[in-house]
Amino acid sequence: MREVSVKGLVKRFGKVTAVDGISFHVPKGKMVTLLGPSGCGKTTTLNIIAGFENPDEGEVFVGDRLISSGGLGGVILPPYKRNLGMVFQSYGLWPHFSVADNVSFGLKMRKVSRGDVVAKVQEALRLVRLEGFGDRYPSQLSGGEQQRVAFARALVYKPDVLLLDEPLSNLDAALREEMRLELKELQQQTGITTLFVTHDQVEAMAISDQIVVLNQGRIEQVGTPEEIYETPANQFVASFIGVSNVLRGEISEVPDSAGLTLVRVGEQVLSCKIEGRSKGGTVLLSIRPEDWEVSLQPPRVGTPNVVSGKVEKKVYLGGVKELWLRVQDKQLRLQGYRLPSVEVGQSVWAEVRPEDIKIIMRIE
Amino acid sequence: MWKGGAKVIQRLHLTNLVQVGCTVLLAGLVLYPLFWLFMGSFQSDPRSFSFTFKAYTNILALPFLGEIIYNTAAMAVGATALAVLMGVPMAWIVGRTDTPFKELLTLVALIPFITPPLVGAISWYYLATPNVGYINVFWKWVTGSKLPIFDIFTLKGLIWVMGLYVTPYVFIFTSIALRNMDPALENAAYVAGGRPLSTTLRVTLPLVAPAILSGALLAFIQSLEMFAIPAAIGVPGDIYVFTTEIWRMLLGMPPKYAEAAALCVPLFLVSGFALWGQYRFMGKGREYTTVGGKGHRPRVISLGRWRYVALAFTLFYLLMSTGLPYLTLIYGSFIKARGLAPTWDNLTLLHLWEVIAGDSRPLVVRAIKNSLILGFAGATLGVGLATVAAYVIHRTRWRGRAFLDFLSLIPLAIPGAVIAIGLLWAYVRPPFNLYGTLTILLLAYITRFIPFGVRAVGNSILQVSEELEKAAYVSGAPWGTMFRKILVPLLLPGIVAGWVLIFVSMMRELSASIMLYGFQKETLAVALFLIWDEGRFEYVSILALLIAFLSLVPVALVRRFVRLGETREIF
Repeated sequence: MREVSVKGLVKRFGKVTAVDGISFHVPKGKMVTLLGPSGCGKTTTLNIIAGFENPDEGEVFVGDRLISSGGLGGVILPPYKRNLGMVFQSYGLWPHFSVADNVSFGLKMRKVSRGDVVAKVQEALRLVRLEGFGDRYPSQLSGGEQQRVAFARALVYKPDVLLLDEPLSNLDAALREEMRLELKELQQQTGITTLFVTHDQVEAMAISDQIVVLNQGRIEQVGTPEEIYETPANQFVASFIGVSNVLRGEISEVPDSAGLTLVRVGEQVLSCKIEGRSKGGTVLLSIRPEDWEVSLQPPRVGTPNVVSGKVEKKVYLGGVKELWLRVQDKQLRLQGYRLPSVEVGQSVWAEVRPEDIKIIMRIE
Repeated sequence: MWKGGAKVIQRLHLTNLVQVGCTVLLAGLVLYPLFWLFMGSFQSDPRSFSFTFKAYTNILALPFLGEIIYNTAAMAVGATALAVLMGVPMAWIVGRTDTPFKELLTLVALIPFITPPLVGAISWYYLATPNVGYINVFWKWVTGSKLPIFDIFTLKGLIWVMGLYVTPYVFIFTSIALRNMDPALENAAYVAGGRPLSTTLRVTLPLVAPAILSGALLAFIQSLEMFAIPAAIGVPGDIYVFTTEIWRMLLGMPPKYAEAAALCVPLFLVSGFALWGQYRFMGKGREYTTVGGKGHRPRVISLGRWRYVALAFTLFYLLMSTGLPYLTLIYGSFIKARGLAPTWDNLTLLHLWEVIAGDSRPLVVRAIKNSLILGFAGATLGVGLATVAAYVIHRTRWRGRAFLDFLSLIPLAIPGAVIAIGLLWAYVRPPFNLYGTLTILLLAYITRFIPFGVRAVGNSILQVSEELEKAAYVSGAPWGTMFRKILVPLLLPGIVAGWVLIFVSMMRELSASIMLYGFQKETLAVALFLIWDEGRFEYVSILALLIAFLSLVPVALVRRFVRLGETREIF
């Protein structure tokens, strides 16, 4: 097991800069996810680490070994010398090889002796719970089974790092959730350093030790799933990770009686908990839809952060309900399992606790 | 597993070598003879270096130049028109209507495509010679008329036979387009109230128009470059076209190499222009003839009583292109004397024995040997080069790949005669001195048919996910290992299809062979042509059937055993 360090990676395709100075670190034995919308540079970054693309600038280290560096005279280790394992989006199982041949390929490339190959293939197939599948061909397996063969193939030669290129995106929803858990267990069991690439934020939340949020070739935020969700660093992260109501407001210099910071959003004044002293100025606030409490009667006087508005739209998401609320010139999205039954056009009141309002950016 | 931190400077990888090597090789094959063709047209003799316009002025001074141009144009345009008139309705009949036996018809319609044109031309020679041709004899017998119904040795006869054998290009292109068309497009027209006829005319046909045009342009190129049919049908009627005229120049004493080269230049330019057009239209066609609409099938149009008309139309084509010619050859192979009625008493196996043991035996044996050597060596080398080229074109981001793609395409626009004259100019001199060897034929064949290989393997590569390659690299396989162990096995269907296509094309090749073959280096097609020239009907029939057999069997085998979509698209 080794750690991965990426330093100042830049990759241009013609005039487009796909990766624009990305640096991050995957600690030994941890699972880090590159998360972002399509075209954010996550796949290019992964391809550079795997050796399918050469960077224009920057360096990639596995442990203390430099495997890629940009510019003239840069170091480019071909992919077959990097000792990495990789699982692809559509698995990339070789259809003309049996499961055992697929799994043993990497061992044969490393000139492992015949007896060892058999034993290691067995062990790898046991790890992914596919004992006895060795003689089958990929076309005879279900999607989930093919997926596990791909993992066995990537892990069998004990690579330094495991690279996962959206490996769950081809599975149907139910299976995807199951495989997600299995993948996490597999990673913890083998303790392999893993870099995971996905555009699915729920997936990223569920299995990562750390998430690197990418957008347009740059890093927007690095942090644990909780940090990313609870305290998004900016508007992009707030809206990309889950749904968020992002509001623009002015901080007033005088705190309220309870010591909370007051922020004026349009006609409304919201009280929030803010670390440190605030000196005023413009900020962006983020409020998650599930943090709202909705009632049909006005709450008692003195309750902080109450807004009232008209229901514009209601969406039933299966369990969770969603209301779109028009408050003055703004639209708010509210979600919850126990929202009251309302009609479109009805007036409702919504409140949010001061600690659930996050300041994501100061605009000087 | 590897020593950490080892600094591997980016160096000359095997892939770089392969890319450059295969481009240089292909450029040598394709451009070198073309270069010498142009050079040659400005010289007076292959052995001297001079610059002169004499070849061109000589050609312009030819008294019958206008006639040759007219004949060539009339033949190519007429045959192409005939091909569209027969190919498009047939494709629609088998692709969209309830005409009986359409699966069988589709299969049989491939036979004229696979049948070597020389075989077809020779059988039509016997079928429609004014006085003794079987069709005319039959006509006179039935009607009591003294005049033949059809004189094949006319421009009309030439167009007719040429049309029969280039029709498959239009038929196949249109069929594929109809099959690949999203049925939703037609269904939408039906739902919107379109009747079958108006839907066909206003939706279906416009959608496949690029494919029709593209097939028609290929048919046009084929008609231009064809030697066999003008030689067998045109020459006896004193109708010369470019290819036969070039051949006549080489037969002269001394051979007019420079004039032949000068005559090749316009021929090449016209087919090059046509190919460029074909490429453009095909490109346009791709935009909307996409496969889509899972599970939907195009609606079958019920023709009612008209379906027998449709069947008759298709059968008429098949009878003319396949039935009658093959019956003639079978008759000729086993009949005691030409003109006898095909009764049991008049049949004999004697001709077969004479071919095997008679005085033409050395030629036949030699020709079979030469053709098989050329076919096996050529198809193997050709498909090998094609596989590497297809890989570079489709799977690398190398800058030169567009040029390589272009190189692998131009031979389609180089008529056999042009390649032959170019090779003559390029390789008669030291250090090559290849004139009259099998090697020069091999070079001509590989050059001519490499596009088939690149296309067949290329189609296969596009169906193999790039992840399979990447997975091999990540697992620790260098490029060469990946290519051998992963890519080649996966591409095998395409490689086999390409091999067979090249092999079959080489077996029948005549346009270039007839100008390049040397002493005792006859190929099967050349031998057939020589024996036909001597007028030995029985031998000709047997040899023609043998050549047809050598084409039909490999194609049938590959269709039987390589069950993959793309081979069906190729054949």
